[in-house]
Amino acid sequence: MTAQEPLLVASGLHRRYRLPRARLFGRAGERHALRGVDLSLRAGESLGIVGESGSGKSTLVRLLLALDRPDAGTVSYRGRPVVVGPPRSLRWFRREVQVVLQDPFASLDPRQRVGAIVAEPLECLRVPGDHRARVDEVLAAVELDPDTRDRYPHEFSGGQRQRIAIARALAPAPRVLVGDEPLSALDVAVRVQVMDLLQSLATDLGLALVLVSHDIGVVARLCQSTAVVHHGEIVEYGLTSQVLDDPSHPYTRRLLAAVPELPLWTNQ
Amino acid sequence: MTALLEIDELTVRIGDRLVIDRVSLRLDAGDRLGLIGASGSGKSVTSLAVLGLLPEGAEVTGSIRLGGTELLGRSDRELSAVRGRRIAMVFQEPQTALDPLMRVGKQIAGPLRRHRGLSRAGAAAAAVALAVDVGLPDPERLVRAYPHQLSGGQRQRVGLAIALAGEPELLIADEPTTALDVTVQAEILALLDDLVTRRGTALLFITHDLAVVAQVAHRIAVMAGGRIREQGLTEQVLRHPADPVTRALLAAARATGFPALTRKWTP
Repeated sequence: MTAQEPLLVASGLHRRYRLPRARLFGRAGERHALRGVDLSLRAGESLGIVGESGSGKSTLVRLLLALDRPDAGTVSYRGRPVVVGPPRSLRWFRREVQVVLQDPFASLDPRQRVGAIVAEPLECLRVPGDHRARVDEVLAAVELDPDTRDRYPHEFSGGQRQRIAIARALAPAPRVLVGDEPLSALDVAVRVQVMDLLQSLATDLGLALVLVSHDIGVVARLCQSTAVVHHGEIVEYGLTSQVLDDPSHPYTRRLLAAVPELPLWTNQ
Repeated sequence: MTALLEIDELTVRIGDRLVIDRVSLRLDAGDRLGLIGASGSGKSVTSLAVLGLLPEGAEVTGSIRLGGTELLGRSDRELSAVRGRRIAMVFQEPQTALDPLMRVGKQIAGPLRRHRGLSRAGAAAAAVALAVDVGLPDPERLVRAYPHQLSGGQRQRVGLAIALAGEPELLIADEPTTALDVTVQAEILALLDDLVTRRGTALLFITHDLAVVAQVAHRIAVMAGGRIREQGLTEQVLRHPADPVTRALLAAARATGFPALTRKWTP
């Protein structure tokens, strides 16, 4: 980590959702999905966001990506406020911050060739330059053959599709890659390969990573720092080694104790 | 001694694809066998074959014997006396395994009436008792709830209650905790362990997760490409994996698993 200004900063993020009315004349309840979340990410840093279903981690991702408006608090990128608005107003931000989603079967348009899929952010975000050459570059970066561009998503396995999704995210040359459970839908052997790919991309391209995951093993290996989200709050935030080896919050301890481990004798 | 379940040279073809290739497995009463492998390795198809639930047009040869009686070639009617009664199953997605339009108490009571011949009132009472057994909170109230009103962990507890209602000799659990959060997974695994131990139920546990199978199973069988690549006592297989497939699975589990090395605290 370098001692430079942070890239992506969230401060005091609050988001509540109105619950469906339980009674006709009763008051609609509210659910506080996030309650005062602060985060900051430096260039090249990798941050893991860990939590269980309903913890608020997906809401947090939506806010970090400016896909949803917080009720209070702000997101800023290199000091510039990120405000949800018409797509045009966020082009600058989308060039810098890209996302890879969980399910590569749902996130790729089955009717477009891979080349068009990967080139899409270049067009939508009006990135200047030779798009064709850029597509070849990023396909090579994710270790796919150049002829991949002329094929359709259904011709690929889950792991290869996730590589295509990563190539698309990399196309506009972002500085931050947000992964929302990007490895969870993959078989374990493939998961290792994609994990290694993310690791080497982060190093080679100086990418900052935000990895949202319920898989603590993956976060432990990919992320320098870790934030644990529980009931809409960050209950623990620090260096991954610190958080995993010496957690201070009871919830973190409960969470870590529940992770199934290979028996130590298998390490011989 | 006759095995509880004996699968011998089971081969399944679906269309022109060889899905299961000469699989042989044996489970004794009260035994716990873990069936592991990547997706598409054939582990779920093997369990569906045992229940006679393969898709229409599947070509099956070999033998599946339950307590010495052949199950292959039996009519659907004959098999329905086995399903839920002698062999029951817990699925990965409790969300889709439960009927969304039926109160959970009624879903638990179904097999109690069908397989144990209980009266409507008797089954309703026994359903509450089962709900207590599987650790559902406030069981009296909960049996009147619909599946969508429950959490994922609670739904899987209901799935276990339904599976155990017929007092089966063999429980097949197909990735029963994969869809759950880790803290919930730990609770369900502990519950499953407790239930099968107390009832002496044999367990066929299907998973891709070696860390989970090491906790649950006495013996494991490793599948790939429709074949059993290796089987034996869990500790033996994981300590001295002989087959390259097992070694690769272990290496991948180590590379993504939780590194339990430097813990400075006690859970």
